[in-house]
Formats: sequence, C-alpha cells, structure tokens
Amino acid sequence: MDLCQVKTGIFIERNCQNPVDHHCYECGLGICENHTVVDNTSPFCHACYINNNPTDIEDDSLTHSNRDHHLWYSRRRLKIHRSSRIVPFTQAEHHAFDQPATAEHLLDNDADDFFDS
Amino acid sequence: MVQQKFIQGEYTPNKLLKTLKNISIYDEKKEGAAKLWLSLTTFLFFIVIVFLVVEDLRIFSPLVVAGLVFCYVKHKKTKKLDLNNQIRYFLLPFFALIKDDIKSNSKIELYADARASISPNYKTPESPTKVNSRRRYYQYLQPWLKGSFTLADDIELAFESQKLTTQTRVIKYSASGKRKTKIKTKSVETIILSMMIPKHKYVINHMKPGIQIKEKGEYIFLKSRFRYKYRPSLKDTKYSPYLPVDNVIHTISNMYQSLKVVN
Repeated sequence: MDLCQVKTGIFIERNCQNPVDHHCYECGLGICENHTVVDNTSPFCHACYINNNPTDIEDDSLTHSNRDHHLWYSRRRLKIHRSSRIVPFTQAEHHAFDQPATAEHLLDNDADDFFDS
Repeated sequence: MVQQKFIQGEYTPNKLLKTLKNISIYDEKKEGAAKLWLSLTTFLFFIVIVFLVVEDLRIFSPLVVAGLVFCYVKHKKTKKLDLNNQIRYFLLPFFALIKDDIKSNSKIELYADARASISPNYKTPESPTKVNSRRRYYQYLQPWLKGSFTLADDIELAFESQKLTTQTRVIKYSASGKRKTKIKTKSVETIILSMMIPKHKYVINHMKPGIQIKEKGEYIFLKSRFRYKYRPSLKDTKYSPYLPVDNVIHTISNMYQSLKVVN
C-alpha cells in the first residue's frame, strides 16, 4: 500500500503515514485525505494549493468550525520555514537515532563548561 | 478545567489537542454569549429609561427592569466562566503546530493557569510600591504556564512562561476637589525554553545569539528566553494581545540551528 508523500513536522521532517487516496492534479504527488484540498473538483496537495492561493492566515484561533486544520497546519509550517529559514532535519539524518547508543557515545570526556553566546 | 481554570497533568498529544480544542470552543461560545447578554442589558437599560419617561408605558417598566436584572445576572454568570484567551490563541495553535514533532507514545506534562493575571494571589511581596502620595505601583506575577515533552529525536523540550503585570494608580484631584484614580496597566511576559540534548545524537554546530549552552554528563543543555510586551491599546497593531506562537517556534528553531546531527 502506497503511503502519502507529504512531509510533516517543523523541526523533524517525517512522512505522513496515511494511505494514498488521491494524486495531486498539479504535481502528481500521492496524497491522503487529510492532505487533499479539492478545488474545482480536482484534488490538490497542500503545497500546490497554497502556491495557487497565497492568502495568509493571521488568526491563530483554531476553533472556527469551518477551518480545515490540516491546511492551516501546512500554511503555518510553510510560513515558519520561509520566515525563519529552518531546514528541518530529514529522516535520513535521523536514521542514526534508531541505532542504540554505544558506551563510546556515553563517555563524558569533555570538561564541564558554561558560556553565554 | 472551566470551573477550576487550570489544566494540570500528563496528556498524549492527541488527547491534549482534543481537550484544548473543546475548551477553546466552549470558551469562544461563552465569550459570545457574555457579549450578547451585555448588549441585551445595555439595550434594556435604555428601554427602561424610555418606559419611565413615557407616562403611558410606565406601567410596564417593572417588567422591563426584571428583564434588565435577568440579562445582567446572566452576563455576570457567563463572564465568570470566561478563560484566559491564551489557551485559545497560544496553547492550542502551539500544540497543533508542534504535534508532529513530538515523539509518538510520549506524554506531554502540562500546567496552564487560565485565571486572570490581576488577582491578589499573584501580588508580588514588594507590591504596592509607593512613589509619592499620589502614585503607586501594583505588581502581579503569574507563572501561568509550565510544560515539557520529548521530541521525535529524543530531545527533551521544557518551557515556562510568567506574566508580570504592572498597574500604575495615580490619584488626581479636579478643580472642585473631587478625587479621581487613573489606572494604567502594562504587561510583560517572559518565556523560557530549554532543551536537554543527548550528546550521542547532536553536537553544537555554531553559536546562535541569545542561547545559553551548558554541557553536563551525556547531555547538552540549551536555554533561551525572550520577553513579550503586550500592546498597550487596541489601536496599536504592532503588538498582539496574545503570546505569539511564531516567536516561540523561532526560538526553538534558533536552538535547533545551533545543532548538528552526529554522523
């Protein structure tokens, strides 16, 4: 079963784990129901939809019933990544994290230091 | 939560978001209802005056007064359940944004106080400070937020926030000798973010301004703080009346940019 190809996470990039329901009309990316926006009966991934409709959401309240929370998240994620130039660590970079720590990793050879930048 | 006005406990990200969302929807509806009752109270107040002035309608005035009292009591009761809007405008979007970065199956420890920041409970020991016979400062310190959770890369992120509200009361006398007290309120919030980073996963790449670094045992500790001033009036659009989620996210991102993954 193919999984949704949309990336999530602000600091640590991860793949969405939901199954593919549609393919983006513009970029062809496999997308799940949560990451699909239907515009004029065609499914779009959030990135393409945001590029085509670049209106910003300033209101941080998520309690409005008509709000698509997944689209809100994608907009905010994109805005944060653009404004702060965050490059999230990828899954490949984090692959090392899955390895158990060795004794060498836990050795504390450095002197304790404390400094202000 | 609505009755006690604080959240305390351990939650899974999904459960916390659901709780915060339900609270926010409830708070939003109550706020709307409180405004509606207040508008009705004001409207009935003018109607009462009209009914008292117009002789033919005077007979109905007790009925309108009863309606006015009812609306006012309803407004007060609904207002009592009103929560600090930071729950709706800061906590909910913050956790909605960070949710996908939190380690699956890990729990969020959270304490959030949604009571009003100006309360005798939060008065600082040195408050009030008397400047002269006419001017006094009252200070209230409310540590309203504290929490921690583990991120997907095993970094422990802790945050806390406290709000310092300074109330300046100035006594003025009019030409006729009438005493008037003018009150001005200013608020500053201090947010402290700290990260506990396992050394076998990250190393310090380069120093970013405003971040304290400490190494101890197998961990690197990063700490950063920033202050947020609330806008003094609604006309001033420079400051948001709520703690900005983006500032907190940018501070965390600054801390992340100081790091490099160990190969």
